Amino acid sequence: MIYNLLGDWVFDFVYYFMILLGILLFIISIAYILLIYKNIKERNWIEKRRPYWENLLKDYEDGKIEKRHLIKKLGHKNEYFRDYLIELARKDKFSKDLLKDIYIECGYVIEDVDRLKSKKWYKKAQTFAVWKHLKILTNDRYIVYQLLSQNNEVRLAALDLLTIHRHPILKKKLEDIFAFYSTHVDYYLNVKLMAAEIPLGGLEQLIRSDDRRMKKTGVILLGREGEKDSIDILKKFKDEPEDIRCEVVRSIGRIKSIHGINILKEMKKDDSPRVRKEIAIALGKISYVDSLEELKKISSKETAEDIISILHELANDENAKVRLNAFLALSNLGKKGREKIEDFRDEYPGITKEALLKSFSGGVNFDNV
Amino acid sequence: MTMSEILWTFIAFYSLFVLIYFVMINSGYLILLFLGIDEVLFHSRKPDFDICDREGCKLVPGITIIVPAYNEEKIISESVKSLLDLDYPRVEVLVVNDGSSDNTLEELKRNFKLIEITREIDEKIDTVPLRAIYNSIEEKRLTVIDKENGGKADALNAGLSYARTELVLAIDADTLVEKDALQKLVRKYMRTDSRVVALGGIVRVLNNCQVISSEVTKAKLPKKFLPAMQVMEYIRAFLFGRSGWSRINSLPIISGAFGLFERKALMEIGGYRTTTVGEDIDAVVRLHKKMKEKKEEYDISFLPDPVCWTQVPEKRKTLSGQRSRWQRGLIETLTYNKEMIFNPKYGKLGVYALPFFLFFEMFGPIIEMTGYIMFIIFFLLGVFSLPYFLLFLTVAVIFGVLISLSSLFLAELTLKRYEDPIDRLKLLLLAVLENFGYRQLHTVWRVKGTIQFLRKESKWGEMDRSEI
Repeated sequence: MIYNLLGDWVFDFVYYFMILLGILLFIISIAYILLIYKNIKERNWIEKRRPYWENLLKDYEDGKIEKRHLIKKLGHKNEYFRDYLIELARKDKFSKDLLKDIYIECGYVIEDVDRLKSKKWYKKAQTFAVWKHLKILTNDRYIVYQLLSQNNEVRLAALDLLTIHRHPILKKKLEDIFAFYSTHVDYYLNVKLMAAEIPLGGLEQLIRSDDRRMKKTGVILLGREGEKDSIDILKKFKDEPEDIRCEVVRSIGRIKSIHGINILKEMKKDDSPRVRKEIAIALGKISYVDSLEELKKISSKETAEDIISILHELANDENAKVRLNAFLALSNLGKKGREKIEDFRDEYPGITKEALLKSFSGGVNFDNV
Repeated sequence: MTMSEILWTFIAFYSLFVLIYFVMINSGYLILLFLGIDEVLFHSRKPDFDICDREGCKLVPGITIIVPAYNEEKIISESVKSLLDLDYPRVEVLVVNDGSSDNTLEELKRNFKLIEITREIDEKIDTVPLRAIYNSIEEKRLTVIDKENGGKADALNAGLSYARTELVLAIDADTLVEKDALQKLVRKYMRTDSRVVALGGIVRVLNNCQVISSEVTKAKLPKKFLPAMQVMEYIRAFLFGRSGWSRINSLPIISGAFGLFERKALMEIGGYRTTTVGEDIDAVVRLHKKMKEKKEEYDISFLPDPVCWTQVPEKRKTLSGQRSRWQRGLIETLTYNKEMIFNPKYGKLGVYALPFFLFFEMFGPIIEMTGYIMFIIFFLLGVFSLPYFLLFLTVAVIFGVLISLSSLFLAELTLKRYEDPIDRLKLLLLAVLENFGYRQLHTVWRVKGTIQFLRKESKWGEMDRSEI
């Protein structure tokens, strides 16, 4: 046996190693039990107080008690109540203004500002997240400074907080924000910046940029629902490279205005099947309406004819993806759309059937798929 | 050399081999544990943000949830309803009825008013013939593909061909996905500074949990021994194993029960391999391979907080079948992708992760089983050293418990899913008990899986399902 071959030292070594592991196991077991005890104690304490806190908040909301009484009853700087307020803000249970007011009155924001001085990234990021939920914006300059933090999580948390407040500084910092990342994160940055609802004037810097990435971002951010004024700006980009042309069309689709149809008409013969596919989707978005009134607005005008004529052409496109989306978009155009779909019954029986089915069941909401 | 000398030399070398193997495997687990702790703590400190606000929600990528279903009549409708109700702005559900012999399709037709359609697609992965495609009149986001039976990988490939979104989520029909899970996965997908091709979340045990409206409202430990033991196993496997590998971007497996993939990437590798029962691990390994060969920066990660709940086997026979199948799947994957093992071209995956899986997961059960046999032989030959054996056994048990306990501690610190204190203490007890009987049984099942692989058996095995 190895024990006999190598002598006592192996046995001794393993023996002491076992003792060490045993001690470690014992310590972790005790720590685990203590942690369970602490968590249970905390949970029970919170569960008992929740109804009391909720009643206090209701009373305050109904004007039955004054703010100073509320604060006094809550007890100063109770960290569990702080968490409860944040949870309520996330669930939209009480008005955000009320919760924010109490949060500030209880002195939690002062604690938060102290927390921001910490060198630990997560304390900053978590504080920004809490402020986002409660719609608190204080120490603006510090938050803006954190947009350029070395830590990725802090940067993104600061961005999230500033976008929810539609902070005006964002339009000036756009290029700096993008400079930290590769193009893989553009998707996320655009999702966030879209929520910031940067005014058209603020996007000028981007769309005039020589940097294609910035230009593309500008084009994307121009595409907000109902922002008809963007359409004239977007028109200028219809001869740009393929990826930007795609974004132009997508933006027009998101704006959902009949004013965009003319540009789509001009672009329908685009060389790129990707662009043509996006045109079909954009028309599908424009023509998908929930209310009867809107439907009438479209179908009673010649624009409806325009939409149908473009889609009819795209439904016979050489590219399958273009055809598919044109058919689905036609399903949003009621009886007239169905008539056009029927034209292809022999040529494309499968997709005809699917589009007709969708048409009878109310069309396709391209925002959801 | 006399027979006695040969025997003694063999015993000495065997003992030395076992000792080295023992030190290596436990060192490997220890390193993984530290990496896993670091990863889980990092994620738990990240603040919770909504993935999008206001108009931004129109820009998020669409997800198709592919649900391969074979004889799932008891749970399929409930499962589809819960998936359609997930908290994500752009989601479609695509159920692939894989030639079920029960009423899976009829259940779907009855509950969702399906109408037959034909869908045009532009790129397709070959599968066994499709019978029909259906769309729901009531729920436009639901599509059902009815096909001949071709196995799970084939069903997933059919779903992949017909999905139209940028991302696909592959899940099992008996899986309940937590409402915010998709948001958490997509947040990682969009925020990573490289191309994310696959993401996995944590899978937890559904048996005995309180479920209201397809949502787990109270996590409870199963009353039966086998599923309760699997709770322990799942916590350990996900929190320390997968998190650890994910930490060094060498995650070789994303559970087939819950994995988000970039559709384009899966199409690039030709979809799932239909000739293995480990299609999930094989797909992830091939994604690594493809991306490394393309020399493109990429990310394949495990996230410890998007949670899904799944039913685990309650009967010994079913569990044995599942574990044998997992072992077979692992061996098949390592065999199919053998050129990657020890190959620095494939980075840390080739140099660390795959060799680890080869030595400790593939050969591990055989070596452990040999150890038990040798113990009997040594005992019969009278060369058995009791102090050495006891010491060895004690260290092995303590080490096993230590790893399990650390995972439990981490779960208690970050996830806090089980509310009942008794359940949490029971888990502690299970972490110890696991080493006496269950672990050995598990080794036997995995050896059985190895034998099945050698005999080229390809059966999938049965799964007992109950209503959610």
